[in-house]
Amino acid sequence: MSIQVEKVSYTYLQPSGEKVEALKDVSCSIAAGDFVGIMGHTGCGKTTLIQLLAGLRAPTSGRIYLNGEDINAKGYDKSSLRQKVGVMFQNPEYQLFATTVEKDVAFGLKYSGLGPREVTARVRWALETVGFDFEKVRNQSPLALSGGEKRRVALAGVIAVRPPILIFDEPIAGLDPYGRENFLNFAQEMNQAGTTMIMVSHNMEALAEYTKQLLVLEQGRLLGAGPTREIFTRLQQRKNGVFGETEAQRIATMLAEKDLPLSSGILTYTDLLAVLKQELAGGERE
Amino acid sequence: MLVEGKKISFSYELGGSSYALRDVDINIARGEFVAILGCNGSGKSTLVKHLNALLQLQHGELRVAQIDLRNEEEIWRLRRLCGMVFQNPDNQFVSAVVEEEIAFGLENYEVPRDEIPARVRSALAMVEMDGYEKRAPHTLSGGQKQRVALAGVLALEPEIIIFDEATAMLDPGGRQEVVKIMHKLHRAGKTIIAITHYVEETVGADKIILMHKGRVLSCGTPQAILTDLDLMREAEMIPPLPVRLYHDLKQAGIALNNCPLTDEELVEAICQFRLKR
Ligand SMILES: Nc1ncnc2c1ncn2[C@@H]1O[C@H](COP(=O)(O)OP(=O)(O)OP(=O)(O)O)[C@@H](O)[C@H]1O
Ligand SMILES: Nc1ncnc2c1ncn2[C@@H]1O[C@H](COP(=O)(O)OP(=O)(O)OP(=O)(O)O)[C@@H](O)[C@H]1O
Ligand SMILES: [Mg+2]
Ligand SMILES: [Mg+2]
Repeated sequence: MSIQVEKVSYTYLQPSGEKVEALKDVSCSIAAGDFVGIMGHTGCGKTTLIQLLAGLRAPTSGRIYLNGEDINAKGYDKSSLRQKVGVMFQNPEYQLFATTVEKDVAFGLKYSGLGPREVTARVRWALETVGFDFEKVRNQSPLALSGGEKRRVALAGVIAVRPPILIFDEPIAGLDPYGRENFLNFAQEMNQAGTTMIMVSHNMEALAEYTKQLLVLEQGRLLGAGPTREIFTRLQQRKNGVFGETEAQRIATMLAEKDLPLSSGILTYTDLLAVLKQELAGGERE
Repeated sequence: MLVEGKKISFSYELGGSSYALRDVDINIARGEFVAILGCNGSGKSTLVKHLNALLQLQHGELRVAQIDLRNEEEIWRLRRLCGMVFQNPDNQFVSAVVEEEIAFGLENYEVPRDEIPARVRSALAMVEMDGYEKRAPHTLSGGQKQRVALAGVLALEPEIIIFDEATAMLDPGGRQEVVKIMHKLHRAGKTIIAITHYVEETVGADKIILMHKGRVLSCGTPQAILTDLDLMREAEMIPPLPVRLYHDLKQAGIALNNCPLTDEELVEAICQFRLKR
């Protein structure tokens, strides 16, 4: 499923009458089967954009199309969106409400048409995918879990539905290193199996290594969109400090300043390691 | 010792058999900067919630600033000494607007009324949230909420400040800023306890407490903890990039002088390696 965002603006109106322009004239498109990252400073409008994509808010102006259909048009069946677009919010722990973890994850499958046995199988799959022991966790109260564990349960609830588009708002914040890696590998597998992935993240390494395209927002405007490597290179040339820079990129820059210019295009750890191996191996080229 | 804990065990279930903390010993000196590292569910939040008596001590002994945690009358005094930025800021907002939120904490601390506005202003400025005084906390973005929560605790100027994943929702620049604030407070004599899943934020600590499955797996300098691959693996942690690179290069026959912890040290080590060659 593809998404088209056309000249979208969104303004929050405060009770005080103050207006907050969270998005300004944003246009972009997301192709079916893509893996798109959204990055930008705190407060730049990422969560707002996602809420618009999921149909939870309607743009103040502009349009959003899903497979060519305007999701805010009068006749559009908004309730069908839930089966098409799955969203994990930034603070998913507040979405947990059922008495047991199993019930919580199963909730989204209520209208899926699956039988009870299939539902259980799907819930098991989802919980195991996010790293839980199903039997151990199924009867626990979601509230009696650590911060990271709650996030994992929320994650399981979203992926259990298996919608064609999955949107994650800071999915790996609060996860431990292997939790992060597991989630990202899972997202990649889902994407390879055809799911369109959209991920908001402040983790530059995750964006660099896993996404194919990047959207960069700055103060509500789309600063750039394009293939991930290209965008990272462009951002680095803007020389605006830590914004949009991976640790490997930063190290490469520091080395260049110390008179060790490495080949360009170092973005990930793997890139850096490969280049350094060549550089430092004393002329022995591999 | 400012914090002295012995054999602390804790279970969330009454009379339960599963322990969130098991025989934990903890020692923190006044003015120390301590990082707590460990995977999800390893007991980090549970442990720090003992320090300001948010959780009641069940087994073992714990003293914070000579206050015995079994003595409930002293708890209020302890809370003033020990401020905590929670993992989920949403849980702690009680006021309708940002400035009231911060003032509320100050009033509770019985800070003189005429000092409050200035303290509120300077705390918000410190986290770059000036201009948001009149906003309702729930209308802020994720990172903005986290900054306000931080300001709420900074305004109180407690002796011991606990940061429970206070940087999780911040952008890279914001994260660096907060880490800088922690170090600044540390230099000003505060005792800092920081929980984080960003391992690079722990390299500047005086010591790291490494937790795993409710136990303290190890405790030592960042150098001792983060460069010990076996220990890190046992804790299901991934070492900082410079450490990984050092070891991966070594495997490829490239031996840098010593194992770096920071990007700067790494760059230095690489430059030295080239000079020697
Ligand atoms: N309900 C609301 N009412 C008023 N303003 C809001 C509301 N929600 C968000 N905003 C404002 O809109 C802007 C964009 O917020 P948004 O949550 O989209 O940012 P974000 O990019 O997701 O940031 P973060 O990385 O911190 O989560 C911010 O300035 C925020 O304060
Ligand atoms: N309110 C609660 N009731 C019951 N069990 C709990 C509760 N809070 C935490 N636990 C359990 O106690 C253990 C330790 O949790 P704790 O919150 O201390 O972990 P943590 O190290 O802070 O993890 P995270 O990195 O995910 O925040 C976990 O197994 C968790 O499931
Ligand atoms: Mg957000
Ligand atoms: Mg925790």
